[in-house]
Amino acid sequence: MDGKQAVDILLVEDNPNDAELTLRALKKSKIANTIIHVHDGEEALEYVFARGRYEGRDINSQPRLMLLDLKLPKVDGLQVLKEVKADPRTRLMPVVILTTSKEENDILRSYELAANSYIVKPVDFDKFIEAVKELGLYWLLLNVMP
Amino acid sequence: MNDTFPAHDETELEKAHRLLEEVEELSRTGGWEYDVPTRHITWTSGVYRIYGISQDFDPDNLERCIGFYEPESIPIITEAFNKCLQHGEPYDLELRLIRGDGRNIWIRTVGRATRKSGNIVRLSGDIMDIDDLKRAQLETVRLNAELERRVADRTEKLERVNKDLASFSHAISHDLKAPLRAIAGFSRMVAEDYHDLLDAEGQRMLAVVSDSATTLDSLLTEILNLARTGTTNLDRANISMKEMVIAMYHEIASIDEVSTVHLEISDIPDCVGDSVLMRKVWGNLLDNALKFTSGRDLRTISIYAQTSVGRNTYFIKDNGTGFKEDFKEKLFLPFQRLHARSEYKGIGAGLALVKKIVELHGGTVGADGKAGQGAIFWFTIPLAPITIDGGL
Repeated sequence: MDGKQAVDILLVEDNPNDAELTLRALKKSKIANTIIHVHDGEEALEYVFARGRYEGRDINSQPRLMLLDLKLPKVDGLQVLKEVKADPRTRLMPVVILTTSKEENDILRSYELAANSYIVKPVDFDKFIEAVKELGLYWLLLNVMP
Repeated sequence: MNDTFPAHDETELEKAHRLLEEVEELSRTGGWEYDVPTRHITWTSGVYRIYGISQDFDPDNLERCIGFYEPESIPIITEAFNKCLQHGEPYDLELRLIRGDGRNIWIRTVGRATRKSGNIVRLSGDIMDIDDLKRAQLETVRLNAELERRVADRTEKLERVNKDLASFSHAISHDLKAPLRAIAGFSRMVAEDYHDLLDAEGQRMLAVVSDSATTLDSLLTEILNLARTGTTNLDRANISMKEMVIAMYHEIASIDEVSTVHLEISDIPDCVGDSVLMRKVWGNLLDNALKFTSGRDLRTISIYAQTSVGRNTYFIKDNGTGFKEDFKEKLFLPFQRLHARSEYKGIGAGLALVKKIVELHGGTVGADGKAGQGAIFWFTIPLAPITIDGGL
């Protein structure tokens, strides 16, 4: 995880269990090579905008996809989304919301803020892998960025 | 009152006068006249009675007459009288008067102008004692306002409680889901990574953990669904029920079921409703019908409707396992199951959701069935939308 290498996925997730399950699913999907895991909204913004803990990181090298939990400590997910989508340097980065339920009001709110998609964190691990695979295929293969 | 019947033969004029007296007294009215050229004012005795003053009073002074009105009413009657006098505009007002005995009463006062060769020569009108009526009317208005205030109060309280409950179940379900994900996910990881270290019994036990987590997850999802339904307003539109049934059926039924189950759909009428919610109604009913016919060789599901005064009733009939009549009451209660979980999947919230949605649309639900002889579920939707949370 040295900042020079191109990152496939930035995972923003504070719950360590959810993070472990997501990372495992992502690795099993064999699509994403590099995954960066940050633990709160503030760290996510620092990473993306190359400041604070990530001062000096090449801001032109952005993750291909951000997987963003909405309920985050310090800076919440919607705020992260808002800032990422407001900055011309990052607004094209696909952001996929991680959510507990597909009927959250937060999903509507996040679509208003130009989230690209959402994925429900299911207890069913198979479905989770499937969903992440689909996302991976979609964003990282079908929709390859320059 | 003139209680004594006239002893002598009265003239026509006397008779007319007596009748006027009687009518005025019975109807609590009085007449007046203002002669414009002479400024002379005449009252009938009814006016004296309403004003509560003796016949000795000389009304022949406009200001003195108007002086009986309550201070707030004086400018109103003065303006109306002047407009009538100058422009011939009639008036009809409800004002307050202070009687000679000091009693404050509501009266209705009406005035109009009479012209002669284009000039206003006379104003006339009547005064009615409407005190009882007006007080009753005001009391009704006050009671209504009081009632509305109380209803609004109560509604607000109930809405708050409802909202609290909804957000409570939301928070609970939400918070419970995170550890649940870990239980399911990590037991899966154990099953995958430590498969070789577990004997058959160990694997069975792990599967129980995993299945229980899945069940609990469905349960939480249903609680969330039930809690959320009805917290937002219905988004009403015209729904083609037949199209919706066909679409939902193909969404729910497996490919195998689509080719083997005999589905009959009559030309059921459209309805006005919330399409997202209505999809859940059909989804749950169709799912039930498919579930409970699953053991049959020849599976039949028919959907039809009846239109009666003010409502459509939609029926879904199957030839499945049915239910004991005693269970009819329990069917639509949340989390009641009539069959063992091992027999049929599901946690028993589907029909509760159907009931809640139909009731939000102002309709009712019901079911008929016998054990082993299929079931008929029905729900009604009013033709004219009813809002159950509307005003009085």
